[in-house]
Amino acid sequence: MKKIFLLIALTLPLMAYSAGKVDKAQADSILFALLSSDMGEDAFSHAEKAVIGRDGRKRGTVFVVEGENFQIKSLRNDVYYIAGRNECVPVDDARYPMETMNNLLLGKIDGGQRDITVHHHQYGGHNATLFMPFDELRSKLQPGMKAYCSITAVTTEKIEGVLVYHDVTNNVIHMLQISSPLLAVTSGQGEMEAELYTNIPQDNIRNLFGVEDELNSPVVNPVNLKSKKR
Amino acid sequence: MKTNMNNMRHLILVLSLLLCTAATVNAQDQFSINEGLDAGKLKSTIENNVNSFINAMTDAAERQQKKVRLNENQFTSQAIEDVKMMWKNSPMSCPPVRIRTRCLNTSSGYQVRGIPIDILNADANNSRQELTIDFTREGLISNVAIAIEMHRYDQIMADNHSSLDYARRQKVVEFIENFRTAYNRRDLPYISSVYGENALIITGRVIKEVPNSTDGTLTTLTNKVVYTRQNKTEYIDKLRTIFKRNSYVNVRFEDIEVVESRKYDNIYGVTLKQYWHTAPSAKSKGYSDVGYLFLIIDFTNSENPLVQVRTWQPYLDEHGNIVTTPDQVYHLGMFRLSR
Repeated sequence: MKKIFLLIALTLPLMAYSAGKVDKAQADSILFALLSSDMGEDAFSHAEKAVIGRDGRKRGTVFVVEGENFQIKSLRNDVYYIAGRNECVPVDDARYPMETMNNLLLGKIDGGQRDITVHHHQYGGHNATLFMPFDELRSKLQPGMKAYCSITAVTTEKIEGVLVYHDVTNNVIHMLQISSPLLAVTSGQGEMEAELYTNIPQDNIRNLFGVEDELNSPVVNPVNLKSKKR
Repeated sequence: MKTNMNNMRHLILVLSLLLCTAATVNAQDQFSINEGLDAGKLKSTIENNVNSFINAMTDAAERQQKKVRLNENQFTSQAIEDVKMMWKNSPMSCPPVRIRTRCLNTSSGYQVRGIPIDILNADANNSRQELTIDFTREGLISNVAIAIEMHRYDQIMADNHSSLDYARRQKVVEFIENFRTAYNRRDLPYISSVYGENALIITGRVIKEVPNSTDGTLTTLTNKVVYTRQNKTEYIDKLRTIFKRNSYVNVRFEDIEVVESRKYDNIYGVTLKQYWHTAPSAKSKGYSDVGYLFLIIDFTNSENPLVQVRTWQPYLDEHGNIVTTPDQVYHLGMFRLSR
């Protein structure tokens, strides 16, 4: 019951937002209220327990099942699997941190004891900070959305990535830039951190990836980019 | 003489026993947990199991054995198979160093990391690795893994730098949507806060111009766009008046184009078509127009992006004739930026 309520609570504002009935300020506010509500651990949705056949693969082999990309080549919903004794399961393995992080962000493995601090950037320049289990964040943001991710950095200390939830019907996205200590990914416990940008409409974009033309144009006015500190 | 020989034998035997005991003590003490688990049966079990495993590897390596002998009471059955498979491909031994490590809690039990090992059939540059060992809640070894090398991710990361650029550009779109929302809400404080103090604001308007004619023939009026420059204060004051007169403002953006500056990081030019509508009221007749809006947005301080340039050019005149074509719209190259 709680899950259905959450799904409705999240979907209705998106529909109303794209129809112009609520604006971005209200949509951000509604989402923040949802994120900061206590849904109870028993309402967390479990990761999709996708298991596929071994198909003769050697045990211990790690391979990718390709999904699709979203807007750019590197933002994808590929899933990494590892061949076990009888079947292949999504990678959740200390030996493969990038693959584990990828699967974690896409909701293919459970968050375990990983928590996340989320800085929610809302209309008006308000940034509110929330702290919750990663499974709770996923349970609140992912229902009804398609998830795509791109791991952007892996070092001996940390892993970083971009996670995008896309509402296909209303063509709106939520975007997270996530940073995690490597240990939090490989050990199944620890604290991650994310910058969250919500309710970004996509249907009025003509070109997202332009670069300034090299052609010389007559300069109209000089612009001083120095501004007084606020 | 015979007594001396016996005494010598006794001495050698005792010394040998002492040495063996010392060696045994050293091996048992090689690994220990210094943090994360309180002293007790579980800690002892884990330490014993790891030391026993280290001994088994070292012993098998010294004897160049094809198989490593594991104590089945210290491993899960899956872990035994995995270690045997690992040994088949990469026999290893643990260097004679003391290992003190933290014990981590995991969702299924415990984990220790950073146990140094030497891979026997690897080249010198890659022979030293580290083991990660997982345990069940009872302390049985459930998984043994070699920590992954980071460098193999370099190629994948090189392809994914575009994702960071993508994220920056989506933040520009998010800013634009906030910007539009602020006009609809008549949120003057927010609008004022996102304009830089030295913001350049250019607004165009259509005037009718009579072309010069020297032969007395009738000529039709042609459209001409004239541009007015305002500073931030002038613009905000004018906007305040508009907001006071109009309780309903509806601004819509279409055809958003985000262009990155070649010269400066974090400077973006955004071009879009703006549909502006205010409803008739007691104080106002209402007004609608469509025009090209161009913004230069400075994301140097990503928490507080600033609009440094705003230009508006009318798209259509009052009769629906196009007065500004896309190639006439302001763009980044028409402004000389300096810091």
